[in-house]
Amino acid sequence: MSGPELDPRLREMFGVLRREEEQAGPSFDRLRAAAARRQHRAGERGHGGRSPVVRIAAITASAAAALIAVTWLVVDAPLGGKPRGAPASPPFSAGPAPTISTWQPATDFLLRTPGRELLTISPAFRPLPSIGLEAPPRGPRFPRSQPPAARRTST
Amino acid sequence: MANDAMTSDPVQQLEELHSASFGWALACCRWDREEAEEVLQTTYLKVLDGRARFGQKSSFSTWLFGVIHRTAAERRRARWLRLLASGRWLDGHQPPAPAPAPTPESRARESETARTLRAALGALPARQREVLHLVFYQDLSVGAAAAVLGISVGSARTHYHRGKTSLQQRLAGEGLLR
Repeated sequence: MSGPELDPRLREMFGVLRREEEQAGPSFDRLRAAAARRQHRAGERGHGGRSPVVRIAAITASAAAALIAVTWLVVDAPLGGKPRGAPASPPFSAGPAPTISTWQPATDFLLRTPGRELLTISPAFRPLPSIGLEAPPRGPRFPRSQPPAARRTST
Repeated sequence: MANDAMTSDPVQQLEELHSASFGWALACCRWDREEAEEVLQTTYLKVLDGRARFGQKSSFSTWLFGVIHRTAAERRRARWLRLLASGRWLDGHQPPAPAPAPTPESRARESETARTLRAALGALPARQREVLHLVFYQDLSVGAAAAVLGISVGSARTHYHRGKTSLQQRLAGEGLLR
C-alpha cells in the first residue's frame, strides 16, 4: 500500500480506536470531582506536605552526606590534603622558640660569599717609619679676635 | 481544532478536550487505564490550581497535551524512584509493563481492529508511537506533535516516517493492510 492510500486507511483505523476509547472513557465530571478532592486534601495537609519522591530524595541525600562525613573522619588524610604516598613532613621540634637575635633565616648561607670576613674585621696597620717631621701644633689655626665668653657678655 | 475556541474558562476548555485528552493519556501510559485516569486527574489538578498555566504560545490543545505528556513522564519517574527506594529494582525487578491484560468484558467490547492496532502501536518505540498517535488520532500536524513532545520538527518528522513504515509492516503482517 502506497503513501496516499496508507494515510486514509490509518486515519480510519485510528478513528475506530478513538471511538471505542471515547465510549469507554471516564466522564469529565468524575475526574474533575476527584481532582477537586485531591486539591482539598492537599490544602488540609498544608504547603509543608511533601510528596514521597521528595521525601525519598531528601533521605538519600542525607544518607550520602552522613557517609561522606564518616569517611572523612575515619580516614587520616582529609579530602584535598596530601596524597597517601607523599613523604611526611619533618616533625615539629618542641624546643624553645629562637629569639629574634639568634634566629637565622634558611637562606642565610647565600650570603656566605668568599672574602666575606674582610668586611667584618678591621686591618691592623704597623706604625709608620719616622722621617723627621714633627706633628703640627694643636689648637686653632687662626687666633680668635674675641673669646666666646666676652662675646656672650657684649650681647 | 474546534476545541481550541478562545474561551477564557479553563474548565470549559478541559471539558471540551476531555475525550481527546483521555485518549492521549492512554497512549502516554501504554493503555494502562488506571494510570491514564491518574495522569489526567493530576493534569486537571495542575490546571485548576494554577501550577500549569496556559501561556497562549500555542493552541490550548497542544499545550494541554504537553502537560499530560509531562505528567505521565513525572509519574513514570516517580514509580521508578519508588521501586529503587524499595529495593525491588535491585532484585531484578523488570520495568513495569503497564499494558494490563484486558478483561473478557473489555475484550468483547473492543473490536478486532482496535485491538490489533493497539498491539502494533505498543510494539513501536515510544516516540514513534506518540507522534503517530498525535497525527492520526488527534489530527495534529507533525509540527504541533513536535511542540507537544518538546522535540524539533525534523526529529518528529523522522519518528513519523519510521513509525509509519514500521506500523504498516506490522499491520500488513496481521492482515489489516495489504
